[in-house]
Amino acid sequence: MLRIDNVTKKFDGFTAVDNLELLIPRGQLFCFLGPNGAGKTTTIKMITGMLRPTEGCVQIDGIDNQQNPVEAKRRIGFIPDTPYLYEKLSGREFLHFVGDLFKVPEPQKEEAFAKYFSTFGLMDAADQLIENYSHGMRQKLCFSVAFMHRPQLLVIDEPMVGLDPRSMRTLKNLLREYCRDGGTVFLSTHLLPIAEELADRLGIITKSKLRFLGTTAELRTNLAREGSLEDLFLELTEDGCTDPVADVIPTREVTA
Amino acid sequence: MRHNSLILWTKWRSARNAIRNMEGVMKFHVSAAFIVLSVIVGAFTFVFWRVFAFLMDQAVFGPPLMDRLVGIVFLAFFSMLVFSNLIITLSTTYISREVDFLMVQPIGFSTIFRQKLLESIVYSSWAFALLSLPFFLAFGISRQVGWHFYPLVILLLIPFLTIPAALGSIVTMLVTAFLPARRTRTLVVVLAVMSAILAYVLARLMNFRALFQQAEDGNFTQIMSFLEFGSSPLVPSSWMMKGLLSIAPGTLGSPDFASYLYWLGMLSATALFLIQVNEWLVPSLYYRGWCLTKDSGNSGETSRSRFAPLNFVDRLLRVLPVQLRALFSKDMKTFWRDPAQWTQLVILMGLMAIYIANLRSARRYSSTVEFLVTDWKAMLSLFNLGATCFILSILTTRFVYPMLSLEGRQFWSVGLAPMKRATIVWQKYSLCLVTALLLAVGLLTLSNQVLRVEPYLRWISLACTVVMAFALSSLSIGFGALLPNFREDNPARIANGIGGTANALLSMAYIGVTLALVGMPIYLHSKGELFGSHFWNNWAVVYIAGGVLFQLGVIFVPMVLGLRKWNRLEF
Repeated sequence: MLRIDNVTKKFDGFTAVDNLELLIPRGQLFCFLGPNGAGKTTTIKMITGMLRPTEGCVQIDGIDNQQNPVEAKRRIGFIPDTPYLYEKLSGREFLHFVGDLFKVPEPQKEEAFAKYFSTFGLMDAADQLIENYSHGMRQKLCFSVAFMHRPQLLVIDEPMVGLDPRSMRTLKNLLREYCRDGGTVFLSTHLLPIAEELADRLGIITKSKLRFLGTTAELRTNLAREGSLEDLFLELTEDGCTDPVADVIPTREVTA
Repeated sequence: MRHNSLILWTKWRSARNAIRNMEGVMKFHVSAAFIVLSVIVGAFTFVFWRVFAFLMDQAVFGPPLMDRLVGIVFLAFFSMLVFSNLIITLSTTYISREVDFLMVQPIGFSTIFRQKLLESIVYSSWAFALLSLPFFLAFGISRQVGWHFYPLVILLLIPFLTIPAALGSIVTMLVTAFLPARRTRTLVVVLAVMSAILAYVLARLMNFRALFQQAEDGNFTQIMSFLEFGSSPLVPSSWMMKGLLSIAPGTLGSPDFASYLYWLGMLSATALFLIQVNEWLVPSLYYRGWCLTKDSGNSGETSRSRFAPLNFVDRLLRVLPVQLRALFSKDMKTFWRDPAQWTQLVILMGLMAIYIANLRSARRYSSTVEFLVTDWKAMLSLFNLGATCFILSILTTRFVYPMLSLEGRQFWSVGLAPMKRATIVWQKYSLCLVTALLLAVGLLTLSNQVLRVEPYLRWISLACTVVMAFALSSLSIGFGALLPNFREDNPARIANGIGGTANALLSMAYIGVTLALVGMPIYLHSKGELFGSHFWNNWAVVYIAGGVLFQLGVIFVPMVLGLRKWNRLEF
C-alpha cells in the first residue's frame, strides 16, 4: 500500500532523512518511532507530498505522489500533530468543507458526521466555531474528517496528544477496525505503550536513518534482550548507537 | 529594566537567527524584493522631485504652496498612522500569543506593555518609513540641503511616530478595560467605529468643498489660506512640517536650527507626555483589559437556518464545481465571521462614500475651475480613474495579498485534498477579480455619473478599470504566491510585511504608468490635437501595441511566476 523507495531529504546540506526504504502492505498498522528530530515528521511530510524527496520516491497504492499527486492524495487521510484549523468555521462546516474538497457524496458526509461526531463526543459542539474548541476537540475533529472519505492509507502524526483516556480507547478501537477492513495506518508516535499495543510492525528511526524494522518480538530477538519496548527503544536510540548496531538489525525490506 | 533588556535581546537574537538561517532560495527572493523596492523607491523619488522642482521654479507662489502641500501630506501621514495604530495595538498588545506567554512570567505589566508599545511603533511605522522615503529624499534634493538634513529628519520622525502609537494604545486600553466582555468582536467594532469617526472628522477638516468655493472666487490668497489647514498648530503633523521646513527653507532663507529644536522639543515633549499617560494607565487598566479580551463571553454558535445570510449565499454557490464551491464558501465564512476583516472593509467603503460626496463639490465648481486649469474635465476624469484604482489597490493589498499566506498553516487540509495546487491560486484569483470588478466598476460608474463625465471618457475609463482590475488582482495573487508568509496568521501584519509593501508600491507604480499611457492621448484629444497629428499618424500603432503588451505583462507575469513558486513550495 505504501512504498518508500530509498528516500533521502536534505535541507541546505543537512540530511533529515537518509536513504529510507519501507514497504507497508494493505491492512497493516505500522508504528514509526524515534526521538525528537530523528526525521519522523519529515518522512510524514514526504508521504503526504508536503515535502519533495531530494532522492527516491514515495508510492501510495502504486501511485507516485510526485508524478500523480492528485490521485495519491485521494487515497490518503492525514492527521497532523498540530491541528491548525479554520477558526471561523464550525466543526460541522469544516467536515463538510473537507468532504467537498474530496468530492464525498452528501449521504456519506452525513453518515460520517453522525458516526464520528457521536463517537468522539463532538455532537454538542458541532455548530460552535472551532476557535472555541480545546486541543483535544480539534484532534477529534481531525480524526472525524480523516476517516470521512474512507482513505486507503491513514497517516497520523502523534495521534494521542490532547486526547482524554476515553477518546484514546475509542481511537484505538477505530484504528483496529479500520485495519481489519483493509485500511493501512502509518502512525508516528513518542508513546511507546501505544506502539506496543497497536503496532503490527514498527520502524525506529534515529539521526535520519532507519535503525530497526520489524515486530516487537523481532526487536527483542535481535537485541537479545528481554524487557519493555521502552528499554529496547532507549538502548537503540542512545547517542553512542551507530551503524554497528544497525548491522545486526534488519532495516531493509526483503520483498519488492 | 532587566526584563526590558532581556526581552529586547531575545527579539534581537530571534531576528538575527532568522536572517542567518534563511535558506538560499529565500535569500535570493528577499534580495530580489529589496532590489525591486529600491527601484520603485528611486522611481517615486524621481516623480516627487519633478513635482517639487516644478513648484520651486514658480517664482512667487511655488515655495509657499509646496510648504502647504507638505503640511497636508504630513497630516495625511499622521491620520494614517493613528488609524493603523488603533488596529495594530489591539493585535500586538492584547491578542498576540507572545503576550499570553509573557503574562504568566514573573514580569511586570508595565514591562510587557512597554515592549508591546515599541512593537506597535515598529509595525505601524516601517511601511510608513518606506513609503515616505522618496518624499523626504525628493524634498531634500529639491531644496538642495546638506547631508545633516537627513539625520535631523530621523530625529524628528522618532517622536512623530511615537505620538500616534501612544495615542492608539491609550484609546485601546480604555476601550478594552471598560467594554462588556465580548472578546475581540465588540472591541474591533468599537475601534472601527472610532476610526470611522476619525476619518469623517479628517474629511471635514480637508473640506474640499471649501477649496472649490475658494477657487470659484478665483482668489489665490484665499486658496493659500485654505491650504493652511495642514498647518493647524494643534496637530503634531504641523510641528513635524515646521521642523522640517526650518532646516530646509529653500529660497526662503537660511536654516533656523533654533526653530528646529523648538519643534523637535514640541514633538518629543508630547510623545513623552503620552507615554507617561500610558504608564499611569497601565497598572489599573492593562491587565484588566487583557483578561476581558480572553473572556469569550459567547459560544460562537453558528446558525444552521436555511435563511441565515451565509447559508443562503452558500446555496447560491451550488452552481459551481464542488471543490471550488467549498473553497469559496470557506473564504466567505472566515471573512465575514472575523470582525477585524470586515470592519476595515466597511471603513474603506465609508471613505469611498466620502470621496463620492466630495466629487459632487468638484463637479459643482468645475465650470469655474476650468478658467484656472485647462482641460479640467479630462483631468478630473483621469483623477477619478486613478483614485478608483488606488482604492482598489489598497483593497487588493490589504485583503487579497494575504489570502494565500493564510492557507499555509492549514495546508494539511486544503493542500492534501485531491486537486491541483494551482486550483487554490485560481480560486483566490477569481474571487478577487469578481469582487474587484464589482467594486471598481460600481465606484467608477457612480463617480462618473456624479461628475457627468463625457461619454467617450466614461467608456475609456471603464475599459481601463476592467483591465486594471485584472492586473491588480494578478499582482496581489501573484505576489501572494511568490512571497508568502506562513509564519504569521494576522492578515494585517502579512499585508504590512515586505511582500505586501512591495505589492502596494508596484500596484501604485502600475497605476501611475497606466494613467500616463491613457492620459496622453486623452490630453491631446481634449486639445483637439490627437487625430491627424504627427504623433497619431506615425506612432499610434506602436503606442497602442506597447500599452497592450505592458498590460498583458502585468496581468500574466506575476501569475506565471507566482504559480511556478506555489507549485514548488514545500510546507
